[in-house]
Amino acid sequence: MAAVLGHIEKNLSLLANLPRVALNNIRDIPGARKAAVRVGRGPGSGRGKTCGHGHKGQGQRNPSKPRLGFEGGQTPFYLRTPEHGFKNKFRKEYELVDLGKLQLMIDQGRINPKSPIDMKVLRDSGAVSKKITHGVKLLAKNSDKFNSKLDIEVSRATPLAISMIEQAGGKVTCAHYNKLGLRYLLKPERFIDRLPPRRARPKPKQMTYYTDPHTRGYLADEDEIRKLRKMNQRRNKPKDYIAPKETAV
Amino acid sequence: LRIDILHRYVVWQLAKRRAGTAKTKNRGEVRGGGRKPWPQKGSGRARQGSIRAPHFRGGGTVHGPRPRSYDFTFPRKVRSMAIRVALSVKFAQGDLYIVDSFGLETHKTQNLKDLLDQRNWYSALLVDGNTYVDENLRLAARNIQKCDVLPSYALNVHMMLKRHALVLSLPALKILQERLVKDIAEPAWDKYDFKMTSLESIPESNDQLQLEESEEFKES
Repeated sequence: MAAVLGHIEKNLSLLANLPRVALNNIRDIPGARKAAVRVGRGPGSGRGKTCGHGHKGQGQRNPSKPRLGFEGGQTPFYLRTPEHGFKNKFRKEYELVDLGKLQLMIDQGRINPKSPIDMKVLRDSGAVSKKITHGVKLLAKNSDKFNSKLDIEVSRATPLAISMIEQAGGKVTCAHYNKLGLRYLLKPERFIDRLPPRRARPKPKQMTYYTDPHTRGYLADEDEIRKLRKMNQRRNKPKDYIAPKETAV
Repeated sequence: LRIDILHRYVVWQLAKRRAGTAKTKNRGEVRGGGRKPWPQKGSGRARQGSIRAPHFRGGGTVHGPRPRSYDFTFPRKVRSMAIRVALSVKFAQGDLYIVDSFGLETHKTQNLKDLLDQRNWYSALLVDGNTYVDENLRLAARNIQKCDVLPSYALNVHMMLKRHALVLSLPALKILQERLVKDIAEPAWDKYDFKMTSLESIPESNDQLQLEESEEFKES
């Protein structure tokens, strides 16, 4: 916390040596306001005379050009192409956090590795955006400098991320939160005068993921998970680690 | 520190107080000009429809100023942040002073002026109470140049930056603390280590206040 708030002291001490902040030296940050384009104000502006409309033609006349996509009467591209596919309204979009970002947060003092890390911690520290739709997924990206022992609970985790955390001596759990459960986790202050909601179990399609010890699901058999974790901790390459397929370059 | 937010606050303050009473006449409002000055063809001159068209001498003004309001809604939380930034700036630069109370004994201007000169507050903004300012203070400070007195609800960034010293009385300080902290998001409350006073315990005016007056005030 001190590392995060140290900038306040620094800013105040810097201000002490600068001239007094008064009405004559306050201004907006450069680039905060964009100047409007004023056409027809002389040749120097680059938009005098014809005001960017060229000479004659439909483009210069009122009310100028036809609608976007119109091709002069030829069947336009957007009508010629067929419709394709559908949008899955039950699609789950997880916020991504990778091991590199986690390590950075720990080094900056924004996440405490000694206490359990759940999605609320990730959101509050800024590792993940404030708007979490379905949960958080842990990836193993930028993990060359990762070496912290963590106890972390996320919605999903890639096998490589799981193995890297367990090799460092930590623990990963993948837990399911539905919309209400996530809201209760992330914003407990909205539930002050209400009964705490009960934890919903995953839908059948997601049950296979959360009852599988290989993905460290929270409903999986504890013993199996313990066995797999021990394997990870013992060897450099864990037994259930599947190397990513090498693609031809 | 967000000096740019101070700028925006001051721009808003000065804009909303504008009278906005500038007005020009357009070609419809200028007297005359209903008749076509000469026939369309035959006179040898350019074709004209009205004597008061904008390109004519004495003609109407195109898109001139109209009476309008320059007010706009400046977000309340940003307003609060601007005041907090201004207070921090005053503190950092050593221009913030806190006084037990502004309970003066007389309304004589000379007494107050001597006090202010003693402390080198030649340009000061004195902030008192919640809705009312101590009567003696108000009368005494009325005629002193470069000295302004405000109740704490009227605290604004323009006056804080204009005057060099910012002097708050203790009741004003407590009221400001309550008011300014309300807009900071709740999770951040545990980051700050201040003691909150309950609203009931804050007196409305200085009469109800029983604080020790500093010796210098007693002398005045």
